[in-house]
Amino acid sequence: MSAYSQPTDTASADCKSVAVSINNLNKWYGNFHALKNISLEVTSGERIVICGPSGSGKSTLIRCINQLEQHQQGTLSVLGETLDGDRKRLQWIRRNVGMSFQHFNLFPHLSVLKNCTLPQTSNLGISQAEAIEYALSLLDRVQMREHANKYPGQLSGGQQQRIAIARALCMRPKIMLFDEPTSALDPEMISEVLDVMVDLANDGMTMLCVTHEMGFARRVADRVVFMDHGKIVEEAPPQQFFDAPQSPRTQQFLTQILDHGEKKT
Amino acid sequence: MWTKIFHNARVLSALQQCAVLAVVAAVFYVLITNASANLDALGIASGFDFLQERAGYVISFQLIDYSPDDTYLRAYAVGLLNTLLVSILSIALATIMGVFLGICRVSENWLLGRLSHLAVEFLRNVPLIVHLIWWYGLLLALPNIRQAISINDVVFLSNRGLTLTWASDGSLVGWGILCVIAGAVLGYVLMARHRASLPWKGFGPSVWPAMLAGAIAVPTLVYLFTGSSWQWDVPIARGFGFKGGVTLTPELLALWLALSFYSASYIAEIVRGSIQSVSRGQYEAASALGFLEMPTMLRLIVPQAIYPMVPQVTSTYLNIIKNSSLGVIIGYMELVSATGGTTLNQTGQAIECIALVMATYCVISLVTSLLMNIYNYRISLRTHS
Amino acid sequence: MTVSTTDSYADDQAPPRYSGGYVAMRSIKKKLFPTPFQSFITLVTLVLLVWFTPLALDWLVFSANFVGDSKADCVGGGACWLPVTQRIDLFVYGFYPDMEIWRVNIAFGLAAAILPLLYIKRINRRWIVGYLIVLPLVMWWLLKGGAGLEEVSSTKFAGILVTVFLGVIGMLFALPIGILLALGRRSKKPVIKLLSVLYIEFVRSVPVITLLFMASLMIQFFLPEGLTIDIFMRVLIVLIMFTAAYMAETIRGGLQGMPSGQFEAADALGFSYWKTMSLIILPQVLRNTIPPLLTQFIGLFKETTLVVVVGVLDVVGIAMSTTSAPEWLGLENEIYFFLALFFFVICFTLSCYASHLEKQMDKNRS
Repeated sequence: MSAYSQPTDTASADCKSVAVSINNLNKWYGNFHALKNISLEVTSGERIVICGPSGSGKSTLIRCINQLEQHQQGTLSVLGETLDGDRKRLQWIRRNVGMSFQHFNLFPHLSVLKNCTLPQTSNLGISQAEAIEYALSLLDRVQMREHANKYPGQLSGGQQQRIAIARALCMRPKIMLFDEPTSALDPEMISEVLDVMVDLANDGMTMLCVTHEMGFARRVADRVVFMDHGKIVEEAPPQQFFDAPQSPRTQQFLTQILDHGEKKT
Repeated sequence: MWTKIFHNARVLSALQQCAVLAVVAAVFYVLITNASANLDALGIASGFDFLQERAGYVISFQLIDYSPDDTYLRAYAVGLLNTLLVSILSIALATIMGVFLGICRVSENWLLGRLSHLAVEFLRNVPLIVHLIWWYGLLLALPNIRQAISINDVVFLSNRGLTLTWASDGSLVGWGILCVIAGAVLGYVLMARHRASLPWKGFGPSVWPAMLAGAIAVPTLVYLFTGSSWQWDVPIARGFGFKGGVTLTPELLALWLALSFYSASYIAEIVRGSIQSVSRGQYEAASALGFLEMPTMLRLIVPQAIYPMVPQVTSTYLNIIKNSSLGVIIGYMELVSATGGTTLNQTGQAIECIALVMATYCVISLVTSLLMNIYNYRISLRTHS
Repeated sequence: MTVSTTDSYADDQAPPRYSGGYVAMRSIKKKLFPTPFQSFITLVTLVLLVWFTPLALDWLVFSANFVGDSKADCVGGGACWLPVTQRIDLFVYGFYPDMEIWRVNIAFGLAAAILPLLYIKRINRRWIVGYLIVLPLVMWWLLKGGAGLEEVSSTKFAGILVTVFLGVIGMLFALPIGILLALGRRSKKPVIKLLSVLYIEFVRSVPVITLLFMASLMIQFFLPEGLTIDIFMRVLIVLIMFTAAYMAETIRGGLQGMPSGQFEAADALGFSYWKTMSLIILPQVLRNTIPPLLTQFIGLFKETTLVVVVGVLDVVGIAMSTTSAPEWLGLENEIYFFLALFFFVICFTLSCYASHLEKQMDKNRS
């Protein structure tokens, strides 16, 4: 069975509004300088893949976007709203930015369906019936509808991750962040999750993915960003990034990554 | 051929075990022969016939009817009921206080967190016996009957204890408790059936309000139909005591309060540990989905934390039951002071009395362990990742 | 497309430093007043604290009397600490003969020396094990006498001496028994496993007081005629048997936490059962379970207070006899507070130490 479907071309990203705007972002953990003068602009509908060695700050960066981590210097604005510590604004941003975690983080004491409807009823004020209907349609989309009444502990990692993505989508976000969504999965389950992500990309969702899946990046990304030691080292469309990387560090990284068994093509 | 048999591991192991058994049996044999010889020499009877004899001593607090003319067996029953009473009361109060303290411990309010930490550490590190003698001293220092503190003249607090208005017909209390339990069970059953009939899991109304409603509705209905014919026993001060009503002796109150405060600190630590063991990812997912702090705690974190809490809290409850034996120190006639204390002193049959008391506790522990295992089995069906 | 240099650490900057006042204010706001509801709670708590603390301090220290001879010397509305200060010798040493108190002090010192020993890593483990094996015997010799030292009957033991004696010696003697029980419970031989399980479960199901009653009232019958053991020794034996059962469970938990690879490697290298246990498994298990064992010791230390029920006067027993002494009538609060403070200080210190050791071990492991 081949890996995943082919993405369609995106509409040209000329006019579009800016989804995420990061300017000279700096973050420290104590004295450790984790993010150094990061500047990045993401337009609406763009798909960005961020890669790099561990400890390079890529997860920290996307976690700053929905303020799971807080930055100390620089400006960060999401969908036009600047993140400056205002709680109301933060809540608004969190409701418009969805996130998928490496370890899924489904709520184990709730059924799959309840995992998806509770955020809607509790945080968006949607009625129970409407929430159930919307959740079922999303579970359908990730092919998990028949498991709606099960509990997360009864499902495999790939199934849980797909449900977690559906749960994030239940909040009707305008931007989706993916923090290494397939890193905790067994190899045979990776493709089912990547299928879901490609499907999402086809619908024009703005996506920022931190991942090691280079094949996915090559197929889906509009831009690939390579980070190392807290800085953006190189940033380019996938053809250029993979076929003609400019920086020696990028070249080194790509040889390491791609030598580990050729990616799924 | 013989050496081969002896070198065989299984034979050796079997021989070893036989040797151990023989040693244990020999030790028991020696102990028992010594015991019967000593008992004969002292003229002390053997066997459990003494349970049918007249007890001849007073028990100051009793749940069922008992007089000194009743048998030792009845005295044993009274003691057992007293143990269960103080245990249940302590379990209830300790749970409420412990949960409250535990939630304060994990509160994001720094001041509250530190103060409750100090309170929990203080309650936990002071031995139970010190708690007990302190509360007992406090309760004995209350004013005497003449100057008793009272609420509306139906409840009195004095150095004789807490005196409450009670129903004249004692069995009304039993019926009352039965009605409450029946109501709760009825509420649970009805709600569980309703939830099971829904197509989606977890969307029905929760069970607790139904149980509470049942527990209140059923006794209320019963009261409405029959209440006018009830008699109330209002306590009136007479001389050195109260006439009528029921009095919770200072011994019972002291043991109850000491056990509750001491055990509450353990429950608080269990609650804190469980809540802190919920992984950070759950908090992050909740934040990312837009949940605020309070709903996150109430609907997402605390329900998850309950599962690992149950076995630990159960063992704390078992400790409460065992610690009720401290009634011996202040003279509350629970199982150990009655059968292990007075009965033993009067009959001299130490072995039988102590064996009876220990066997009772063993049975209580066994029953609790069994219930715990059933609970664990049912929960394992709903596995947690 | 952007490319930047890859000089990784060259452009590390220091984090922005805010003024101390700003950081403090921000910290206070976050910790004490994050939301309106929390602010309300903080205010209520502060008001209660401000009202209560001066009253308590006044009673405890400022208006209290620390010197004097009798109750009549207690003036000024505060706590009267005289029953404690006057009888401190009784509280600590019981009825031990004055000439021999130096022996008790040495015993206390030796017992306290265990704590730093557990901590210092440079000492060879064999020395520590040796010390723990020899310590109870030495303490016994020091306190009871014999072989060069004057004998002191255990009827003279009372107060903190009893508490420390029963706690430390009880725990140390119970350790090997607990290890054997834990191994027995995990044994594959059904007889041994059954006996261990029966013993452990029985001891854990019954309250300590019943075991103490057993020591005081029942054991006499099982001994051959003419042989008597004084009550103190009987209580010690029972406490050892009791502690051993609880320790067995803790050690069993440690054994279960051992990766099975250790057992398999030992098997593959040809170690016998006892060699595996004594050379490979138990040293690791015992080191890992030091924090829970220390916690168990704190529990045992508190349980020793129950011996007053069978007539052995520990520090609580002395306190109870003090409250009923006519010359100190009415001063129960001070005496109970002293008791509470004594146990709180020791147990809290030990539990902080145990959690500190645990953190140390986690750090060393990862």
